Amino acid sequence: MNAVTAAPMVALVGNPNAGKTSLFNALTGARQKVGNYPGVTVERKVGAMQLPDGSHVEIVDLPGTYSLSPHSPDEQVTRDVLMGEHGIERAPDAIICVVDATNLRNHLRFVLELARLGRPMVVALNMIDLADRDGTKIDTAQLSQRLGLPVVPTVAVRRRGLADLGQEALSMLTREAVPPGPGADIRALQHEALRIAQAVTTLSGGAGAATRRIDNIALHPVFGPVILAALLFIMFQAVFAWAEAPMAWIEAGIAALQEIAAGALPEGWFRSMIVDGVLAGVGGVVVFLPQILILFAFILVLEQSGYMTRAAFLMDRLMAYVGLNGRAFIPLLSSFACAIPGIMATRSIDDPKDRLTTILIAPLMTCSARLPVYAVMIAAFIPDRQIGFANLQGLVLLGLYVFGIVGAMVAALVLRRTVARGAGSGFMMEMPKYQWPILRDLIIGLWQRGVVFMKRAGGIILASTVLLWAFASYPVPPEGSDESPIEYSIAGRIGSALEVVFSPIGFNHEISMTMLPTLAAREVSVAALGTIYSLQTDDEDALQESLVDRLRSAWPLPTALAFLVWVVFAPQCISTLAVVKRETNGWKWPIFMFTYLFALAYVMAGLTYWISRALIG
Amino acid sequence: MRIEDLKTGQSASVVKIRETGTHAAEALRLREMGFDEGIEIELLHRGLIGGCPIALRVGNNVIALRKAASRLIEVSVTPAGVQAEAAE
Repeated sequence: MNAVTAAPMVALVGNPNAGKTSLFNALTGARQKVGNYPGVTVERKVGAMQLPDGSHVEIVDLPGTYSLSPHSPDEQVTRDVLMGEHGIERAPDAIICVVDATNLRNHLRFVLELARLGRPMVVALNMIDLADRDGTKIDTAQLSQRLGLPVVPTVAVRRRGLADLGQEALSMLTREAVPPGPGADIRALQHEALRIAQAVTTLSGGAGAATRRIDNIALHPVFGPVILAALLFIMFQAVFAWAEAPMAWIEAGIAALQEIAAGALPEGWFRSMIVDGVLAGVGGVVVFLPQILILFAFILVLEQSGYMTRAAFLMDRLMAYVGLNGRAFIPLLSSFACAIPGIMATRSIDDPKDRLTTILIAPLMTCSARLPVYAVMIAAFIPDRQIGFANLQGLVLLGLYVFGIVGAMVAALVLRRTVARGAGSGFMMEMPKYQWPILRDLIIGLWQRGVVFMKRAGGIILASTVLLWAFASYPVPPEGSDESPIEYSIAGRIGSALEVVFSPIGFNHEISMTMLPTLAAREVSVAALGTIYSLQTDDEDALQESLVDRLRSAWPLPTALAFLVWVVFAPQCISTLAVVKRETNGWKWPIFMFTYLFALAYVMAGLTYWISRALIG
Repeated sequence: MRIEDLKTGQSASVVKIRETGTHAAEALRLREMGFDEGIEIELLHRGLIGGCPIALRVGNNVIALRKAASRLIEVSVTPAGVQAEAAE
C-alpha cells in the first residue's frame, strides 16, 4: 500500500462523448496508471489529482455509460463501482459527473439517476464554451439549486474551471453518503431532466451548424465513402512510408548492440542466447513500434475529431452483410498494422458475440509483419511487368490484402452461423460534434497505447524468441557432421516431422522447417529461410537479394503460390494467441482460432498448389 | 408513421416507443440515447445501400441506428416538417 491508494477516491463518470477523457487528462496530467480490472477486459484508469488544500485524491476514470443499466462489461464495471458492489474497487468517496452542456437534456437524465445513489457528487458542466457558441445560455445557479448538487462550468480542453472543480470536490469529501433513494423508471427521469433543462436553458439556438455542414459531405452517399477510402489510403501510406526510416534506425541500433554483445561476451551458449535470442527478440518487438504508433496516432485523431463514428456509420451496412456491426471497423483497421492492438480495440464492441467474431477474424487482416514475406516471395516469383497502368507485382500484393479481407468476411459469415450464433445487438451510436483533436490528449493516449502494446506483446515475443532460439540451436551436431546445425536441432527435427503434414500441399522440407520459428513472428520466416539455405551475410538487403535468387531456382511456382496463400491465412503468431487468451479469458478461443486458421490455410494453400499445378503442368 | 418514411431533412416528433416483450432492451437503449415521447427528430442521412443505417438528429444530438431499431419508434410529422414537405 502506498500513499496514493490510501487517499480518498473520486469516481469520474459520464456519458460517452461528454469530454470525460479530456477532463481526466486535464485533472491528472501525466500522473495516470492504466491497468485492467481482473477477470474482465475492462480498462482501469487511475490518476492522482491535487486539491486546493494540497492534499491528493485518487481519481478513477470509469468507463463512459448512458445509465446504470449495463449493456456491456464496461458499463457493468461502472455500475458496480458506483453502487459499491464491485469486489475489488472500493466505493467512491465522491463522484464527479461530466455533463455535455450542449446536450443537457439527455445528460441530466443520467445525473438524476446518479443523484439517487446518495453519494456526494459534483456536476462538471463541460464544453460550456460550445454551448455559448451555439447561443445557449445555462443558468448554472438555478441548475445547481434544482439538482441539489454543486455545478461547475468547465472547458476541459482549455483547462477552464478545474480549480473550482477541485474546490467543490474537496468540500464533497467531508460529506457523508446518504442512503440511496428508490430507483426510478427511465421515463420519469427523462421527464424530470426535460423539465430542469427547459427551466435553466434560454435561447437555444441552431446547435452544431458546423457539424451539420461537415456531415453533409462526410456522410454523403457518394462522397462519404470516397473520403473514407482516401483517408484510409493516406493512413496506410503513412504507416508504411513514415515508419520506414525509424524502423531502419531501430534495426541498425539492435544490430549494433548485437555486435557489441558479440564482441564483449566469450563465445558460447550465453553469447548466442543474448545475441540471437534476447536481442533479436527485443528487436523483433521494438521494430514494429513506429508503425504501431503512427497507426495509433491516426486512429486517435480520427476518434477525437469525431470522424471515427462516421466511418462506423459508413461501414455498418457492409459489416451487416457478414453479421457484424459498424463498430468492428476500427479494430479490423488496426489489425492491418498488427492484430494485437486490433484485438484489444474490440473492447468497444458491446455485444459479446459480435466481439468474439471480430476477434476471431482480426488476424486475417494482413498485418505488417507479413509484408517482408510477401515482398521476398513476390520479388522471386512474380514477373516485374506492366499490365496497363498497374504493375503486376503491386497487383499481386494488393490481391493478397484483398484475399485476406474476403477470407475474413467469409469466416465471419460462417462463425456468425456456428460458434458465435445469435442475433447481434444491432448498431446504435451517438455521433458527437466534430472537434479539433487536443495535443495533450493525443500524446497521453499515444503513450498509454504504446506502453500497453509493449507490455502485452513484448514479454510474450521475447519469451517465445528465446525459446525458439533454444529449439533452433540445440542439440548441436557432432564435429564433422554434414548436417547443418539447424537441421540437427529440435526445431529441425520437428520441421522434418511436419514435412509429412505439409508435403501434400506442395511444401518442401525448407518451408516445413520454418513453421516452428515463424510462430514467434511472421517476418521471422524470411530470416529462417535465410538460415536454412545457409546464406552467410549480415546485410539484410543482400540477404533478401540472394534469398530471392535462391528461392527462384529452388522452388517450383505452385509451391511458391501455395506458400503465399498459406501466409495469408496461416495461424497467427504466439503473441496474438496470447492476447486472444487474455481478452477471452481462457484457452478455448485461442485454440479454436489456431485450429480454424490452420485448417483454412491448409485447404486454401492445398487448392492453390493443386490447381496451379494442373494449370501450369 | 415510421422514421424511414420521412424524407431526408424532414422533421417529426416522437409519438411512441414500442417497448414490449423482446424490444424492451432495445427500447431502453433508445431512451438512453435521448429518444422520448414529444422530442423532435430530423432525418439527416441514410446509408448508401438500402438506406441503412440512418442518422437522426434527436434534440441536440445526432444518433446513428439501423432501420430495424428505428421501427420501434412511431413519429408524426411536426408542423415545421409539413411545411418542408409542402415546399418541395
